[in-house]
Amino acid sequence: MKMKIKIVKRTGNRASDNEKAARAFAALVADGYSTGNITTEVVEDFTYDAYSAGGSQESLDNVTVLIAKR
Amino acid sequence: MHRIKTIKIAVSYVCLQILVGCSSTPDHSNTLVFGTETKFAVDVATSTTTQVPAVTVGYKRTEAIWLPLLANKKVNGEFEPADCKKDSDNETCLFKSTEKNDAYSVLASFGATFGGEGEADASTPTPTTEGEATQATVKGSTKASGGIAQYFATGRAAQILAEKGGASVVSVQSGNAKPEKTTEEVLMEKFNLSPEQVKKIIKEANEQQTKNEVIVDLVMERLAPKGTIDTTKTAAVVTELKKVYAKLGSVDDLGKAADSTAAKNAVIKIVATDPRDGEKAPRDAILEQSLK
Repeated sequence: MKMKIKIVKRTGNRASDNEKAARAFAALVADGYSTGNITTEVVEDFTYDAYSAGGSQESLDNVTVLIAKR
Repeated sequence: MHRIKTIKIAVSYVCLQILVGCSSTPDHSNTLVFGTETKFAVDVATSTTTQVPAVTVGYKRTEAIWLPLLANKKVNGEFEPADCKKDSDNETCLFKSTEKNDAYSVLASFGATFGGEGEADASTPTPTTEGEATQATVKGSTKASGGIAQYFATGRAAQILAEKGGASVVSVQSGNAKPEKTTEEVLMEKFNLSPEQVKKIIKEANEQQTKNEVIVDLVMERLAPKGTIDTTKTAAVVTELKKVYAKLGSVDDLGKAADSTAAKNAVIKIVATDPRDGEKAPRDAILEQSLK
């Protein structure tokens, strides 16, 4: 399985935030992910922890998280 | 009041498998002939007097394949694969499949699910004390399901199906299953956008995807000319990118890439990365640095 996570910053401007998330969503579809396999969540406090896997650990506020699988 | 229940199901499924020997080696022929015939019928019905819908499905199919095989030979009473005829260069067994030529790979899947159910309740008019009839009520339910998930692929088709997950091509769904929504529909619903906005976003995303692929090719031509990674050039590009994108893990991956495949994987990720607000897109930066 392949997975791609995109995290888009939310500014509070709903129209603008929706458009940014839609662009990220469309980019995932253009990259070959099926719309049914992309989940979208609006998250107030998001922690990304890939530290033990050799990546980074980040904490972000007010983001839209898009998770795509195939 | 009377009650009628009718359940009627008729299913016939026939699978015929034939192995035919037609060569000089009777214990293992050099040919596989395979055929299937399927007949499938579901009839789910309730009483005709209740007017509850009846379901009738019929289906019939026949398929057959002819497949060359490397026949067996008998050595000291034991069966072994026969000697393989070599190609013109006398190097490769002609029966060995390759990515381009293949008549010997086989992939088959067989499956069928059937079911049927029918039920009906009917009430006749009942007079009340005032002499008026109450309304007649009719309840009924009818269910039917079926599915034949079967394929038989040979050669390159079998190879590709095995790689891509052949099961996905024969998924069986209920007739009531809703088709997956289009990207346009999903974007409009999820993000409350107009059809015009959605069309523009999708068009731009597809164009960007195409541009990204071109950029990856251009960058790789510079970082790995003729498929061999230029470590000096790659290191120089990585150094410049790190100045701007210190936290971009795929830049580190590019720096560690030992061959052109690993480098390309890293470049694909760098090119697909969206920039932060006010930042130059990593795809533009890597292209610029590579072309220097």
